[in-house]
Amino acid sequence: MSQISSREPALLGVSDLVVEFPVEGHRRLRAVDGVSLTVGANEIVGLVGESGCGKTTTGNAIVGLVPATSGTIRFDGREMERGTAAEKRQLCCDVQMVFQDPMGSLNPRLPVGDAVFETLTVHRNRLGLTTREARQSRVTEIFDMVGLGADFIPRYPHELSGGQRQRVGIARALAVRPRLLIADEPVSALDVSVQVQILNLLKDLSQELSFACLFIAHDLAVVRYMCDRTLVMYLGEVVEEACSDILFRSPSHPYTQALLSAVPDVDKGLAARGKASNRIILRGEVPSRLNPVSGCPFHPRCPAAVDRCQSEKPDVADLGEGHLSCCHFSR
Amino acid sequence: MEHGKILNEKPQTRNPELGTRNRPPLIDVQGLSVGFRNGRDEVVVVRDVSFRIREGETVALVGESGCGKSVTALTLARLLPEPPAFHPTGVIFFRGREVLQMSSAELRAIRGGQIAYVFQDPATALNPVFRIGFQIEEAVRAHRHHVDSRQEALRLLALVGLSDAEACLRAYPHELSGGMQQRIVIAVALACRPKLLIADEPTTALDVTIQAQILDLLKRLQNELGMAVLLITHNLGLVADVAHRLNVIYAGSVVESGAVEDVLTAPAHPYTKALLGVVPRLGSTSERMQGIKGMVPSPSNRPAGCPFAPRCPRVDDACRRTMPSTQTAGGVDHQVRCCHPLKEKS
Repeated sequence: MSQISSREPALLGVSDLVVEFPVEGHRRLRAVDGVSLTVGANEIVGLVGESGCGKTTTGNAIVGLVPATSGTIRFDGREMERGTAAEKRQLCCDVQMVFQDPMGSLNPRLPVGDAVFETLTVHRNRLGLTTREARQSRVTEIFDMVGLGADFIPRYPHELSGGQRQRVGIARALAVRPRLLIADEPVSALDVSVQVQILNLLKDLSQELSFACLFIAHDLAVVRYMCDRTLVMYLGEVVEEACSDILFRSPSHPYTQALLSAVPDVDKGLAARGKASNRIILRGEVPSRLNPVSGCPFHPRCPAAVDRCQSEKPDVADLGEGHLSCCHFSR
Repeated sequence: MEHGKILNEKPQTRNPELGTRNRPPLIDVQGLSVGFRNGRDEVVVVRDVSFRIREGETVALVGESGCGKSVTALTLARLLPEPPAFHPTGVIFFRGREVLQMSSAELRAIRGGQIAYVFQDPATALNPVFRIGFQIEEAVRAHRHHVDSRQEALRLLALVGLSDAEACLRAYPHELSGGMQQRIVIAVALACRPKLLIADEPTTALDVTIQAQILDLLKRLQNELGMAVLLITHNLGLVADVAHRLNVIYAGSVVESGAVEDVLTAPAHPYTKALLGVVPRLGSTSERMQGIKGMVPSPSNRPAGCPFAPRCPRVDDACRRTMPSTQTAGGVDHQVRCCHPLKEKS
C-alpha cells in the first residue's frame, strides 16, 4: 500500500508479499497477507502490531529466512529472488538483521569478537578485508563504535549484560557495512534505562553510517521515538501507514486508534487521573489465522463496524501526505 | 450472590482514591531486609524496605529488573524458600499480625486466603496437566468449606469476564490464549476473596489491547470487591494509569515514595527523575532522551553509600560514604531517600 516514496526509488520495495506456512490437515496458515512497503535510503521505518500479526515474518521474508509464497521484494531495484548466487551473497552483506533475544542469537561457545569476525570472514572479498589483520582491526573498530571497547572482544555472551549483548548483535550486523538493517524487536528484552541507550545508539549509527532501518516492534512509544514513518499491521495486513508525526497525532484507522489508546502512557495517565476513562477497550482477541475473516480483517473487534465491513474488504484510502488507511470510513 | 454479600458488608466507594488516605493500613512493612545464601556468599537483595498499603488502595512498586521488587512481594506472604533465603529481618504487620512470626499453619491460612498473587506469565502459573475447572475449584476448596466449588468457579469466571464458562472449566491451559489464561489466574487469585492482591507484572506478557482489558478488569474488581492491590511493574505509564501511591525501588531500597501525582510530576530523587526521562512517550516529539549512564549494581556488588551514587548526576562525597536516610519531600506522605533531593518541579 506504499506510495510515499514513489518519487524517488526506494532502497527496499516490497509489494503484495504473501507468506503461508503449511499446518496440519493440509491447511495453510497465511501469516502475511499482501503486505507492501517501502524503505527509502537512510529512512527508519517502523512496523508495529500485536503478537501474531505477521511483523516478524515480514522481516524474515525480506532477509530470506522464510520463503515468500508470492509477491516481490526488491532491493535497490533488483528482485531479490531472481539474482545469481553471487548477487544473493552480496544481498546478505547489504541487508543485515538484529534479533530480539541477543542471548539466543549469539553462539554461547564463541567469544563475541569471533562472532563478529566470522561474518567478516564470510564477506571478506566483498568488503576488501582479505587479511586477518584487516578483519581484526575492523572488529576493534566496530566494537568501539557500538560503545563496547576492545576488552569485550574475547568475552563470551554469558559474561555480558543484556544491553551489552544487544550491542554485540548490532556490531555483528553493522560490521559488514549493510545498507539496510532489519531490527526485530531489538529492545523489548531490555530494561527501560538500557533500552534508551540502544535506541540512541541505533539512531546515531544510522546517521553516521547512513543505513536504512526497518524497525519491527510492538511498543508504540518506542516506534514513535525511533521512526520517521510507521506502518501498523493487523492479521497479516498493513492497515495504516503514515509519517510518525501524523500517525500518532491523528490516527485514522479504528485499530490504530484503539492501539494508541490502550498503551499506558505517563502523560496520558497523569492527565486522566480522577476522570472517567476514555480508553477504547477492544472486545475479544485477535482471531485465529486458520479461519480467515471475511471483509475487513478488523471488523469482529471494531467498535465502528457496520454490515458493509463484514462483507466488503476496504480499499486503501489515501488521506494525503503519504497517509494511507485501510478502512471504509477513512477519509 | 455471595459477592453481593461482601459488597454490602462494607461501605463501597465508587472511586477508591477518595478516602483511602484515612483508612488503617492493611499491610505495614517496616525495615524489611531479605537475603540469600549462595554457597559461601551471602547476598542481601532487599535492604531496609518500608511501605504500607491501606485497604482498597493500589500501591505500585516500580524498578528495573534485579532491584528486588519480586523478592519483596514474595516475602510478604513468606513464599521464598528458606534456605536459600535467610529469615527476613524487619517487621511485616498484616491486619495487625506479624507475618514474620507466624507458624506455618497460620501462613497457610493467609496465603491464597487473604494474600493472593498474580504472576507475570500466566502460562507457567497454571498447571498444564489439569483442567481449568479443577484448578479454580482447588483454590476455592482450600480455604472455603461449605461452598459449592463448581458454582463458585462458574461465578468467578463470569466475574473475570469469560463468557463461555462451562467450556472454559473443561479446557486445559494450552487451549486458551494468553489473555484468557491471565483471566483464569486472576479468577484463581480471587477465589478466596483476598484482602490483598499482589500483581507481579500482570500484563507484561500480554499484547497492549489485551493488557488494556486486563487492567480494566483489575480496576473494576478492585472497586467491586474493595481489595488492596500491590502492583509490581517497570512500566511508569501503567503506574500513572492505575496506582494511587508509588514506591520507587532501586538496588533493593525504596528511594522514593508518595502519591503518584506528586512523585511523577515532581520527582525528588534523581533516579526517579532519570527513570521518567527514559520512558518513551506517545506524545513526544523526536526530542532526544538521555539514557542513565552505567547499570544497576548487582546485589553482591552494591556500593557502600547511596546505591545510586555511581550513576547520579548530583553525587558528592557524602553520598558515597553513607546510605542517606529517608526524609520528607514536599507533598503529603512524599518521602525520599537522598542526600540532595531535587526541589524544583520538573
